[in-house]
Amino acid sequence: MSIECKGISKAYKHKQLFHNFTGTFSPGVCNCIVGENGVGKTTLLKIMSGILKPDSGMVTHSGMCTYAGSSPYMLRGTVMDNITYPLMLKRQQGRREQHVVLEMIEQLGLNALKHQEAKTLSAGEKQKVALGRALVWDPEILLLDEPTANIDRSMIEMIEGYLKDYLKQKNRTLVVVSHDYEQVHRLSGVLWEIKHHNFDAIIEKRENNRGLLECR
Amino acid sequence: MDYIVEGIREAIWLIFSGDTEIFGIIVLSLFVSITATTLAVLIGVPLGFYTGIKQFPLKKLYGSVLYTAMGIPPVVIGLVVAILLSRRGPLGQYELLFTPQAMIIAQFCLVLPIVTGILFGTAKDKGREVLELAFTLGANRHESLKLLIKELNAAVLLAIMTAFGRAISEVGAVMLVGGNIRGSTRMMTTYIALNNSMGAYERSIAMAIVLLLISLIINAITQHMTGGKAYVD
Repeated sequence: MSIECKGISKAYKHKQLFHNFTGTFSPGVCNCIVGENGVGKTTLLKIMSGILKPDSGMVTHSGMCTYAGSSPYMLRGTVMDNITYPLMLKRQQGRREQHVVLEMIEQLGLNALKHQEAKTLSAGEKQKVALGRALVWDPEILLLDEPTANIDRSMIEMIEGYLKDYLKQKNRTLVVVSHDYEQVHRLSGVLWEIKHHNFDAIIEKRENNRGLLECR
Repeated sequence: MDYIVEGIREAIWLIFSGDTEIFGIIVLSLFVSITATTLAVLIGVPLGFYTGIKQFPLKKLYGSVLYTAMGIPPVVIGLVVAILLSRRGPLGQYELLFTPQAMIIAQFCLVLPIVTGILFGTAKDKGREVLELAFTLGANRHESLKLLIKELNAAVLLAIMTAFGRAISEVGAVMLVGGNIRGSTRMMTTYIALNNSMGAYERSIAMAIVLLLISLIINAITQHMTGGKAYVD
């Protein structure tokens, strides 16, 4: 269940974010995307998820894919309603039962908040809910944009552990955008670094954080 | 001060005495405003949603025009509709001027930008987020639309209530296109204006109390339907 980007280009008005990017995000390892603000990390992730369309090129993947942003939208209703929502869709109906939702809530430390209105949560709590909502239906491809940006240190370790467990399952692809280089080091199997060069972006790929393997 | 107290006392008596003229006016006012609001909601809700979510050239200009239209003085709308419906106007052949239909048209023109504008603004800000979330969680087209309506239903309710409030309380447009004809196009607001100018305060106050009560009832219904929460968060 890898994601393949073939000749992806994207520009916003006068700013070229990346040009003709080709790369394969493999399953079984954590693919971390790093880079300075505004280089196009979130845009690349959104293109991979299908939310945004590239100016040219194409993204191919098989299996179900989900994306969770850094400032997630909370649906009306409780924490429980939000995490249950994906399981109520036609596509997943019958795949999972209520106990999976409760388990997820428990694991994310949201037990005390499960009946609270999701819109009233703090930024970190909302991020946990978004993570639970993305993971609960067990998609084959998980795209996370700064998943631990507002989360306290004690929970970060737990979430990273959860992501590692997710990867242990067969045919699971994980792509994470992060600013936290320590986290990238802890998680990364493959590091993708977006750098600006002559008003164009270069996307470098390094495996196990050791040396440059591929350029563009 | 005495005439105010006397006015209120007589007004209450007028309401409970079952004055046929007053009740006829209330029924006509409700009929005209509810019809105009319903028509505006049927067109404005989908139009507001669609234009709010969809990206198209000159969207900013469209938004500016829409927001400006939300604040057009009723008298101006009344004047334009009156010109269009007058005997010499392009729609003169239908002989609609000084009829309840003309008042419905004028109120419809007044509240359509309000309904469209409120939903355009909400859908522009939140609609894309909701649809993106639905898409990333694997919802199909039908499920995405269902989620969008569910998430933005408070804004729809707000648009309906604002539009109806504006329609029922408006005086300039219905005065121009309806003519305030007794037993035919006399509305609550034009009735208040007329009686006030004639010094018949008790009748003006009686109708003002009814208008206030209608506003309170609408607000109570809205509060009940939204569970006392804010319309838009």
